[in-house]
Amino acid sequence: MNTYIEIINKILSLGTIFLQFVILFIAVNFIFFRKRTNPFLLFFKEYTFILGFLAALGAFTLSLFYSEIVGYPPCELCWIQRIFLYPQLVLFGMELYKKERSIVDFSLVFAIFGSIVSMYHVYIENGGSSSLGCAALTPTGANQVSCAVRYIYEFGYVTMPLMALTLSLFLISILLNYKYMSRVK
Amino acid sequence: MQTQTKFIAFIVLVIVVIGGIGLYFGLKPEAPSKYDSFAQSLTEKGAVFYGAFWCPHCQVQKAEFGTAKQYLPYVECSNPDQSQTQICIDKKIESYPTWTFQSDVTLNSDTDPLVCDIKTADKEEPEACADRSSEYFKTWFFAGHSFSVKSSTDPVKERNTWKFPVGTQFSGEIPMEFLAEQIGFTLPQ
Repeated sequence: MNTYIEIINKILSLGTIFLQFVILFIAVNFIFFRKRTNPFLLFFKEYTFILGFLAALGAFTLSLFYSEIVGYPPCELCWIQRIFLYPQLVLFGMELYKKERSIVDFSLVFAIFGSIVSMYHVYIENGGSSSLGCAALTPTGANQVSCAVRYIYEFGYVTMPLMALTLSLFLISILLNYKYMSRVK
Repeated sequence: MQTQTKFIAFIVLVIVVIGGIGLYFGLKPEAPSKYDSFAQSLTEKGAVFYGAFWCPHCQVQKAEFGTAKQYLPYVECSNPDQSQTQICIDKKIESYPTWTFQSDVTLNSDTDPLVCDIKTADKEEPEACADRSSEYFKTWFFAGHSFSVKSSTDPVKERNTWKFPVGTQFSGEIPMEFLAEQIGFTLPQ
């Protein structure tokens, strides 16, 4: 594998781990220190849409980078995850541009469905191939791209579906925080 | 406005820090491992490890060697689009990881293995061989071993040992102890 792809994989994996800490941070604040004056929750409420837009833009760009430039073919579950992810870019863009806050619920539903598919993909990836090895795409074979393949495997657990799951959970956490903080007086 | 500037600075800082750490991890030289000499011996003894970058079993195999993986006799069989590289097409590699050795390989087993004939379109294969037999080789499955053995020549059987000739392919989860045994290497504790 090219060194530049390995470096990009490492950077993305670190970004994923960072996002996981952010999710944990939001969750802890939300569960134990849920007050309308909590400065951290206020920060995430203030920047919900720009953070969501940047996260969706990053995921959109990178998923296309891997499939169209690097050349990794997406499996079926990857396509389903894209179906739930790509509209987020438009939704968050509209939220930013039009200040149309009613879109929050749509974003939330997309993120929830996306995370369910990602969880299933992570499950498949962790037990989906026989101990006798991975079947090769031989010239005579007509195998489809299996969803058990791991194009990225960093730090012993970070893979592409796990990145997608982390992103969906991040969107869910900031959107729920936004909904809650907008409601409390 | 000032808050927005702070926010942008924060996002840029996060990206720079993560990018910097990623670059550091990606470019830093590998530290020595206790398996360095084992991996080098495998290469010197002519063993070959055919794998695909996307295959979880190959990733696990490489992870077992830690930083010594750089010395492994690894041959990448997959292009980015998962199609096979010419060298692996020529070697008739059908699954990953696959290991070959430059000497005979002896396997011990108390029970007879399941033997699957070469897969052909006109011959129906037994149910136990479905999706497991090879298009090019006869395949042996030994109980208690999580890999298959592919060879065009039958092994020589003596009591409970099977001796496979040079060029036999071993595909699946190959334990390090098995690899060490084939090249007469004692694994470090």
